[in-house]
Parts: sequence; C-alpha cells; structure tokens
Amino acid sequence: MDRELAPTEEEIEQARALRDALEGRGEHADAELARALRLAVRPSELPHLEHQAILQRTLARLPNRRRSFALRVVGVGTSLALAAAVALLVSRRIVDVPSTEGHDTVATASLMRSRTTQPLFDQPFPRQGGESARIDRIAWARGRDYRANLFERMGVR
Amino acid sequence: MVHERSRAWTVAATVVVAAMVGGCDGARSAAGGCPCDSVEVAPPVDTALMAYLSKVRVIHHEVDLLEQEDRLAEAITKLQDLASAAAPGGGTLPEVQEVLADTLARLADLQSRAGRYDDAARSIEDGLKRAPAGSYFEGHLYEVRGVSEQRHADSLATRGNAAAARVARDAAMRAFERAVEIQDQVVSRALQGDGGVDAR
Repeated sequence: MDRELAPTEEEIEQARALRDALEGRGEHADAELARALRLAVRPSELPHLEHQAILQRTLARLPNRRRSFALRVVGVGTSLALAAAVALLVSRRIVDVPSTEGHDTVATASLMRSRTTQPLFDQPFPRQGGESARIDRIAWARGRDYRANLFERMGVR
Repeated sequence: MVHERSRAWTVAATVVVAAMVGGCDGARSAAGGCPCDSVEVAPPVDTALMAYLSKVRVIHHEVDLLEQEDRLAEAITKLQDLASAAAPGGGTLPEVQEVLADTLARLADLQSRAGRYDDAARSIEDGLKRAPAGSYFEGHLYEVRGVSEQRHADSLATRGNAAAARVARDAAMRAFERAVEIQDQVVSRALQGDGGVDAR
C-alpha cells in the first residue's frame, strides 16, 4: 500500500473507538452522526408496542371529531398504499418476463423478443444447400436484436 | 363508530379493486394482453440464444467444408450431435426450433446421399415436429423427403426391385406435391403481408 495512504496509529485508534461506540461500548464524538446516517439509509423497525403507544398518546390528545378524521386519513392512506402495491405487482408481472438467462430484473416491455425467423426469408429455400447462408442470416438478425437489448438495458437510446 | 369503520373498509376495498383493474388495463396496453388471462410473452433475445445460434452457424460452416471433401459420415455425425445437444429455453424458442428443423433437413439429405434412407426418414419426422406449420422450413422438409425418396427409388430400381422403387417414387411425388402446396401458402401469405407464418 502507498505509504501516504496508510492510516496512522491515531486514525486506527479513532476508528476502533467509533466502532465500539456504535456497538454500544463507550462514547465517540462522531457516533451520533454515524447512527443518524445509518438510520437514514436503513431505518430500524419501530417495535409494535412502541408504535401502539405513540399512536394512543397522539389520539388521546385529539378531540373526538379530529380523532375520527385522523383515523379516516390513516385508513385511506393505507388503502392507497395497498392499492399502489397491488397495481405495481400486477403490471410488473407482464413486463418482467424472465429471459432464458433467468435474471431479468429490468422492465423488458421494449426489448426485442424471441420470434420466428420466417420474415427473414422472402422465397422458398433451394432444394439443396444454402443452410449456412440461412443460419448466417438468422444469427446476423438476432445479433442486431441482442445488441439493441444490451443498449436498452444500459439505458442507451 | 362501527358505521364509520365499515364505511372506511368499503372505501378501501373499492380503491384496491379499482387499482387492480387499472393495473390490469395498464399491463394489457403495455403488452397486448392481460396477465390475468395468463398471457405468455416470449423471452428477450439474450446471450444464451446468441451463443446457441453462433454454435449452429459454426457447425453448418464446418459441415460445408466436410461436404466439399466428400466426408459425409463426419458431416452426419456433426449434425446429429448438434440436433441432440441442449438448447436454450428448453429448445422451445422459435429460432431454436427453426434452425433445428433446417439442421434436420440437411441431416436427412446427407443421410439419404449416404444410402441411409431409414435414418433420413426419421430425421425428416423429427424436423417436422419442430418446423412451424405452413413455413418455408416445413416446406423444405417435405422437399428433402421427396429428394430422399427419389434417391431411394433410384437405388431400388438399380438393384432390380421395381415394385419397391415404384412405392418410393410415389412417396417422393406426394412429398414434392406437399412441399409445393406449403410453399404456395407461405408465398401467398407473405404477399398479403403477414410475414408468411401460419397463425396456427
């Protein structure tokens, strides 16, 4: 490793102290910031009981009419979220057709698909010969589709 | 309170059903059908298909060279290996079916040139199972069957078996007629602009 890039003893010590603080052992000045960043990226789940208690405390402070309005807002919001999830699932089923590679995760509606090669030929095949020329033509045509699909997957238009 | 709750549930259920219908409609317009009806969409052209087509291409060019040197037995073996090899999509992709049908037609032609008429007939049968109905590939297979039967008839006649030669000649005629019939259908459909493939 480059000598200038190697961590100093002090840096190693600081890193160790920060790691200990994040694991609940001791304190470190940067620990709070690191926790906040971690929770922003991957928030921990709110325990059910804690969630219920917060909800009850909040609702108890509201007058009856506002409480009923709040319940309705929560209900409609939940329904909309559920509906959006269902709609997303249903529409994804049709566009996320797996390729033979089995790891197709992008929306594939616009990709070139496997299909008959018949339109590549505008006249009957000769009685003998011509097989290599035919497979050349098929491979060339599908090669073009394959490249188009690669660009599509990479977002190049 | 109970009344309000039941009304909330009714609203929620309506929203969910509306979203399902909307999602289904969106999917239908995106892909020409509805997933609720289990529409099957062909997979995209991918690496596995390209690798397979490239392999088929190489083997056919190899067979060209073997044919030029009159090494029929080796050419036959190459095509037999290709026809029995694993193919992407379980061998069901249209491109795979069609290049295999064409490969089996070529194999049958070589087998009949080598005097292996029974093998040739089996290859034609295998090819017909793969060729799309009413396609040039299907027509070509019948044509090769005719050529193979004609060779067989000539061979039988040379050996003095006139009756068997007549049977083979009749079979050749029927195959040629069927080939012409199919090719006529393909050509007329192509001229009507549907790509020349039977919708069956």
